[in-house]
Amino acid sequence: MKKRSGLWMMMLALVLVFTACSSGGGGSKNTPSTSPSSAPSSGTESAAPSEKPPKQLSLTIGLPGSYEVTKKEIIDKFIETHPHITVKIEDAPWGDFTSKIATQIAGNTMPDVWFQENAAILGYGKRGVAEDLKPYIERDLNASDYVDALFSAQTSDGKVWGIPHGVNSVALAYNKSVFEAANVDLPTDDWTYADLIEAAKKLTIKEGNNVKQFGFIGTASITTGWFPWIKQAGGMVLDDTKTKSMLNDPKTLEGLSQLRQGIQDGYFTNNDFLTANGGALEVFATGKSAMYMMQYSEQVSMNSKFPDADWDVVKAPKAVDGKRYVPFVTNSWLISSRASDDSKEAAWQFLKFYLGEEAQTILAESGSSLPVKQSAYTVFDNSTTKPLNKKGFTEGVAEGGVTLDENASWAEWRLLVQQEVNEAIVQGNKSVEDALAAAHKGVQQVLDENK
Amino acid sequence: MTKSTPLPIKMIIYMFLIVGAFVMFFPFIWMVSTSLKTSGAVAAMPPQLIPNPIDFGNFVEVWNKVNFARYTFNSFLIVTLDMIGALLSCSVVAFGLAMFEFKGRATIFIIMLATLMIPGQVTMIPTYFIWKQFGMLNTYSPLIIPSFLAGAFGIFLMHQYIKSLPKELYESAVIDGCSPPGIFARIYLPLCKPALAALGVFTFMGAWNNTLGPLIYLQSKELYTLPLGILYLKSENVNQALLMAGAVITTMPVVAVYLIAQKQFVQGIASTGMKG
Amino acid sequence: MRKQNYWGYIFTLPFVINVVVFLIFPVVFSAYISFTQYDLFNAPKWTGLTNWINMFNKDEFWISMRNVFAFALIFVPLQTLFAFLIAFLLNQALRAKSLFRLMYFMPVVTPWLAGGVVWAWMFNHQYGVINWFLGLFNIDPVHWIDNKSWLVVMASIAIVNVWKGVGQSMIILLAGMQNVPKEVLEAGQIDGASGWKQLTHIVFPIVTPMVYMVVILSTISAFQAFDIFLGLFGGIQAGIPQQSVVPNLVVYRDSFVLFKMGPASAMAWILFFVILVVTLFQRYFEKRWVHYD
Repeated sequence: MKKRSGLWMMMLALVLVFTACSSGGGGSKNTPSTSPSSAPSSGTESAAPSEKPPKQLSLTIGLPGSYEVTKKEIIDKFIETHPHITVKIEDAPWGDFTSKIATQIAGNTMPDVWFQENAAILGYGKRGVAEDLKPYIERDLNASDYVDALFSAQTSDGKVWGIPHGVNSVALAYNKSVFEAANVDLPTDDWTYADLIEAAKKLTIKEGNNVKQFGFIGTASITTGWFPWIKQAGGMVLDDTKTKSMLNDPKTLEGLSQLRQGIQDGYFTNNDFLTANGGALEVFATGKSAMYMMQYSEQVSMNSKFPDADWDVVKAPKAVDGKRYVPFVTNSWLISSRASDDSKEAAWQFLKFYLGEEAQTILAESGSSLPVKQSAYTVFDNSTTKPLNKKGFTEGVAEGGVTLDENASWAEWRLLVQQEVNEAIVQGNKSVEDALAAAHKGVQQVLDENK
Repeated sequence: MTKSTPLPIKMIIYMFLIVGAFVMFFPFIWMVSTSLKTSGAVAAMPPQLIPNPIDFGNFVEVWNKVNFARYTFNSFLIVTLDMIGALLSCSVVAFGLAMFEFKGRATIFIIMLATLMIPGQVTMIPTYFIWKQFGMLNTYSPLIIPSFLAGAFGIFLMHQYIKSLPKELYESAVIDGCSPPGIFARIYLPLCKPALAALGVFTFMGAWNNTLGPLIYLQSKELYTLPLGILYLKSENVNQALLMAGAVITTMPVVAVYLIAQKQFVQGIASTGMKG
Repeated sequence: MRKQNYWGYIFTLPFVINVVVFLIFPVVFSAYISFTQYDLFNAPKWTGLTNWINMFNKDEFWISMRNVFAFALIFVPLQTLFAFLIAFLLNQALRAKSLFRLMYFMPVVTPWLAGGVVWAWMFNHQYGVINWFLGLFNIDPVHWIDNKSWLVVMASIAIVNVWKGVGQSMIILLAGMQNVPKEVLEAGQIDGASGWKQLTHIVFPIVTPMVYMVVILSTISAFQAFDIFLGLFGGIQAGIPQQSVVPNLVVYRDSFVLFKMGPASAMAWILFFVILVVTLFQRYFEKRWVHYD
């Protein structure tokens, strides 16, 4: 018996040792730097302090999706122009980056700077993983040079946990040939969702019980589906403080019911149709649906896979209150709070470069997301790629850009809503009322737990 | 089937097998067919089973995007070592468990079974800590060393197989003056060919398809394995045809190994007439 | 069993090292984590039984347990039966049996990436192959993985899992059947034993250790299933309806999507105990039907 308890004590000790090293590891690196401008005092990381300024710094950049997602040009130019920073790239496949980074954070082996979905960055901020970038921004950037989305990762108490890798907003895409064939007026920037529904009904072609052509693509995703539909009806998902669920608001119900109505009555596509026809983009591009709420990044696929499709975009329609709510998503860069002071400085050098004219112009030209620097938007003035009316994206988001009510517990409550929306909208196994009631209860609970 | 099986029953059996085989095989065919399609043809309705036109462009693209030669070499290096380790260690341990009576045998057996049930998702992080303590991150050690320490699945498989062999084998060998290691190597190992072949296929599959391990333990890109490299194709704007080309490439070596091992499954002691 | 028992220790040494070096710590650590709040970044905070109590208070826990039991009860017998039948048939003097063996093994190597897409398409309510086929017999289209009834959902997914796993079990059984001496079969033939009698009286008893193993392995894999759910529902982020969740999906979500290692560990360990009890239960009956020669 004695022997056994001794063994258990040993194991417990082992556990404590390991947990200690996994969490408090790099104690000396952990000292919070009050002012980012303060010159790093003692070289904690670099072995041989170099005599000549600037000092050689080392920087590890985490790149999910490698150069498929972040232009290699930008990274190469940064390395070229910053010879005093030794850059190491750590990349992982896009979808699997989360598992890798989670393990690395636990083992204290994460990169100094990397990016993930903005909501994830807010979560990191709350857990302490991310460095507050506010002092850096105030020191080095002129906020008026940037679009509002620069502060996507700002919290209510003024901390900024990340800066955007790129902005991805939505606009209403329409297939010109389909509209012309049906002799329906093309959408305009003044459309409301009621106009959209009206046109969708006109554009739908039924053959008996079978729909041959749909008016609009009804999806259950948050960005192009339930979030804008709730917003346009005057409803809300969370309140302005993002601590209260508004899913029990009657207007929220109304907005979601309109989406379901469209799907049930067959003038919006249903999920079965989308699955059987290769997905939303394919259905839109091949003219099986006349309209589509499109994310900016999808234009790249549209142009490469369906170069012959005749399409353009207008701003996302207005809500009942006459305002425009244009959902946008961003991936955001963050700096690890456990990086050494030197590496934090090097990481900020990188982010500054990323937000600079040159890198932002490269980003804008790639077409994969919108830049955050205002001056880079001039790229679009002479653009000849589809969609020609890029203002549908750029001005739309400038006028009414909203995040998806992101906060630190977004990942958790969004999944709860998604499950319920799927049951109500995709499968039709639940009424919208029941789904929203269940979601409301769950979401409020999550918000309360994470206060 | 015995020679006396009546024709109608034979027909029914063949029908059953053919229909079943088609259902089993269909998704694979679809995968190969999609990988040979142009992106426009992927969405064509009705779906084309035989692509028109047949397009090898996706394979060329995979080849260009992925450091193919290097990753293939890495994968084969890891997988080969894993197979040697697993076949050897599992059969040794299984032989020990099946043939000897010793204190703690039952406990080891239960622990072995229990390891099959251990929730990998929550033990992954602490396992990572161990390798970090050993200073073996960014090396192949975490991917190879465990296979030399006998995994539970392999032990179980070999144990059950050895147990189903006639027990007279051991006694007669002892009378002939063989030591236990000799009995293991000269008598049991050759007899275990079918089970070893099966274990070989499973080990190959497990090691080859393991993307989580390399993803977590490897940082340097030149150490990456082929299936991990192919995961890079799955970026934001997914091209299904390209993904399927990647899937075909990762699947082919497994099929090849299966075909090589297949003969072994069916060459057991049935022909040696060990048991009269 | 032999007398030179020290050989037992020598032969099993690799596994013992494995357990000591790579098993004890992760097991103890993650068990400890189940009593803490741990976000993978900050040091774990002891919270006593909170995670466990919260877990039992959640509908999700009971729903997922109900689902996984139903899933296993449908999946395990179906897979074992099919695997045995196919292995037996493919061990006969059949034409093209190598080709058949290959085809039945293919799902094992077909990635979910492809399998998931094809099955989602086959299960499609309006446009799927299965409902089209039923339509030929004037049967109304059925909702499969999106049915209102969780039981239908579990049964549908179990069938897909049989598709995926039957090849593996088949191979294990096929290897086991090589132990059946040809002379015995030939003797049976002379005696005029029918195919059925041969199967039940000669082949089955000899193969029982392997059948036992196949049953145990597929039981464990059934209780641990989650990648098939991800494959068919399009990933965790797509939002899998609560009525269709299984325990390991919850573990996956809590650990690597929400970074709540405490609740994830509690769920993972309760699942471990459930599987352990089920396996011990199966082991209890082992002696009644498994013949070790």
